[in-house]
Amino acid sequence: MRILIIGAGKVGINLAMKMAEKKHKVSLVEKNESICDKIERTDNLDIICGDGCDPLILELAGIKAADVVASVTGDDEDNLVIAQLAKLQPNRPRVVSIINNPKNEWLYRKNWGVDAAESPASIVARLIEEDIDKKI
Amino acid sequence: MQIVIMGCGRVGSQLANLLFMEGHKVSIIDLDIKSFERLGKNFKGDKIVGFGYDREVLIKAGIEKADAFASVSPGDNRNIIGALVASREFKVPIVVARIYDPVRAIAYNKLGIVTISPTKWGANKIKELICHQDINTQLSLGNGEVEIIEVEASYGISGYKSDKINVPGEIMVISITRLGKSFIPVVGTVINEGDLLHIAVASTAIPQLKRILGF
Repeated sequence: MRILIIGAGKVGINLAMKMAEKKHKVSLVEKNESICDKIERTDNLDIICGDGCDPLILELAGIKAADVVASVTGDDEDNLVIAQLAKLQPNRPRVVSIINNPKNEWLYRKNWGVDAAESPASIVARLIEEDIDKKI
Repeated sequence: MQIVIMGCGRVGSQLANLLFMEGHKVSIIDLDIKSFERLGKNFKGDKIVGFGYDREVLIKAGIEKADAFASVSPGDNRNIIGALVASREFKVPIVVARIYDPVRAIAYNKLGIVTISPTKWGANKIKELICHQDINTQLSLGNGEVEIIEVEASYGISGYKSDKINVPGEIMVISITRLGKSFIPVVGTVINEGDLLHIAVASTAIPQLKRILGF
């Protein structure tokens, strides 16, 4: 599969490495140049330094040929904008995303271009809550 | 009308006051309570502190009954998401978003949001002031792509037929004012010296129009 990942934070980098290891063709877009420079180069991984909310950068990163777009930046508004732009493409790639602020969860839906989304903050909070309960 | 504004910066505060003074019910949202100082003492609309596309904040601002929504925060993406929340989730009939990046503005127009790009509009306007001081713009449409200009017919073009000035897709004489009365020219209407012409012109065709008018 061709996978386009936007945002090289902890989630983006881990996801990119994992997918590249599994022989998928991965493009990773990151706007911060110093972060781009630090990413470990491996096979099947292209790094594009630029703003993933810019339609021209997305095109350069190969959005028109992508099977999946993962919008995993640290900003919900950026993730949602990327999802909209992805669904404007004729190939209509599958869009997966992360929810940064659980308050914004209600927007991560199909009519907003998002096919699936996870909320790390809610997931971790739930797991920690379970850990707390165990001690009692 | 009931109007919700997201972002109380220079544009937001001025817009809020303009609308308030015209008698509209205005509520304005900003993250920073200090930004409301820009509104001045005379503004009596609602001021809501919070995130511009937070559902509860928007409901508190009266979005459910709003007739119009404008997002004018400093962030392009925040503005577009705010505008989409207003139109998609709350069915606000009139939604406008300010987008600085003109390339993005085009993409977002496809999402059905009316966008205004002050960057492009401002650049067009400044260029016009530098290059076409003799052209008197009455109205600038879109982001300045089409202008309606006013010009007095000089001796040089009197006797011209108004349709001879027209260039398909670029220049069109839309009104002639003669002896205090305006009318829309037809094919063959002859221009007299001293007629006041209103001409719609593509901004790219202004040099061509100037040549035709003999400037």
